[in-house]
Amino acid sequence: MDRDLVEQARRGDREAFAVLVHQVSDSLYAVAQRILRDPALAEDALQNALVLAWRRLPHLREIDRFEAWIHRILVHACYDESQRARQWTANVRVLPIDGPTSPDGSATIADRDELERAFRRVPVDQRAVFVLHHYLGLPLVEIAEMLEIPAGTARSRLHYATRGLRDALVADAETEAAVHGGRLA
Amino acid sequence: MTDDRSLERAARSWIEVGPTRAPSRAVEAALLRIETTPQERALRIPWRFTNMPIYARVAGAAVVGVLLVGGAVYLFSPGGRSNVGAPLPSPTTVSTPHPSPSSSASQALGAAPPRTLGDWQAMSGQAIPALFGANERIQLSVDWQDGLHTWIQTADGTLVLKSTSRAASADELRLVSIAGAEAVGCTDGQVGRYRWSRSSDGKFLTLTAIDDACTDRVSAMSRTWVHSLSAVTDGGIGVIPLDPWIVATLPSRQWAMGGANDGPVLRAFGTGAPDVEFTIVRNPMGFDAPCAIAGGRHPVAIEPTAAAIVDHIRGLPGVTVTTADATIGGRPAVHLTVTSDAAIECPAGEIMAFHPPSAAEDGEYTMALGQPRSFWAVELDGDVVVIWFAGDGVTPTDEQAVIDSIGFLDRLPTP
Repeated sequence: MDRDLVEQARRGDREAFAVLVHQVSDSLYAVAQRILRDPALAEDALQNALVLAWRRLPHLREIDRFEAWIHRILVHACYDESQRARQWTANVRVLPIDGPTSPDGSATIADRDELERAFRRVPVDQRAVFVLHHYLGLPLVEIAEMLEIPAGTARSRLHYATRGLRDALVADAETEAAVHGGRLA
Repeated sequence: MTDDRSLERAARSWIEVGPTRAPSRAVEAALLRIETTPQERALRIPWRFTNMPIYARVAGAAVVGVLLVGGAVYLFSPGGRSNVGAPLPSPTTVSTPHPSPSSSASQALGAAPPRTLGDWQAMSGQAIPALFGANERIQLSVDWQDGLHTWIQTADGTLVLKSTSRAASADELRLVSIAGAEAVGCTDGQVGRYRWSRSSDGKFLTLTAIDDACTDRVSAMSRTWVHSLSAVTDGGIGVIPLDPWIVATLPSRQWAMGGANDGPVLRAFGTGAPDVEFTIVRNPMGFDAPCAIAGGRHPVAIEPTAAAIVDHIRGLPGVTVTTADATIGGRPAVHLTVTSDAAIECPAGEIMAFHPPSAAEDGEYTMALGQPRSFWAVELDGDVVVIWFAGDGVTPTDEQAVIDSIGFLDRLPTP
């Protein structure tokens, strides 16, 4: 990241900020989409994060940490969007989908559907750590620093996200079995 | 897939799937919003002025731009606009001898009289339903930058009655309403002529309608306004909208206000301006780790008394405080003279002393290690206000003159 651009943007240069936006927006959107699992919400989160970043840029103290800083703003924008979404999706029931299980456990279409459903049940703050760790490949210490949370909290969020994912998959499997067994039919 | 290893492998593979490019419409929409979005002014206000790159003495337009946007943040947030702009040479009145009103709308723009420029405060009195409610604070702004636009801002930040200025005689303010949402109250092109006068001390601006077909504008503007030290001013006597109102007299130079609603900061700006600021913070809070940089500290409350402010400062690492009882605006106060040990370990090289309650995350008043500081804590009926006037070239006499000019008002002054 060009320090001069960040400094110029911090001093109110909109053109410099526009250049920065084009440099970081792909990564921000990809992260938002993976946390929120909804393209429209991810677009809103991206927009809100970029505008908020512009507004708050004069407060940025460490120019070298611009990318981490703007990703933190994005994650918080995702939190906000997920709250907004919850009002509309609280009553949505996700139905299990039949499909073969891959012999090697890799992500087949059916697996991805299962993961998709399961991931949506994981709290958004845990999802954020999961995405930052597994998608961006950030170490937990760096995630903690980025999100301004203790390292232990980042570690536990990742742990609970993984466990939540597993539990949701198990629950789905049991539901599916019950449906096929006629108990819920 | 539910054993941990296969789950993690599958999840990693799955999380890779998905879009990797931001939709251009989302990016462009954000940039469009940014075009009309002011930046917040950083409230990191070092008490050591020589270490303030953002307010370096070179008054480049960008530097001042950041400062002035701060005024916008302070003034009638949210969504409001203060009377700010890039520093330009002082506008001059373009006068013509009494042109006929009927020709005004098509007449060329002309700057408003220089002594009307700036921001002016009033209480609305009676409600004007299309504009504002009863007994609300309203602000008249005559564009400080070029004197070509005039508007009123309501308490919720809405701009109304926006008009352009036309050339007129020296004692007249001639306005033509413009099209658009900010012109609410008048129809496009309505001409209004107002006689203006300013009190000899500069505190009041009185507008009297000569003729104006826009009746809401007549009702809104025809009154006596009080000179505001927010957001851009040439100094002198004026009020600052805090609770209570603060009246003060600042040296004659350009000042721009930034900060927070409970922590306004007026800073000198303009070519060759010294690094001087006048800061007021109401019921400041402290930090539990005053040497920590952002993220490693949390707000702590300070009892709203001068004694508690003294105790808080005494509790900062490596700080020595001497105090003297004082009176400011008839209220009991304490003058604190503070020194800090330059050798203590503070990673940021400065101590985070205070922040405004409304800006726990972003605002901080810092004290450079080893630099002496002088400030005042004033008790106001259950609140405490911390004030300083300091900076390059400010002598104790200068400081005392500003402090002595301060008054606390339950309501706006009247002539």
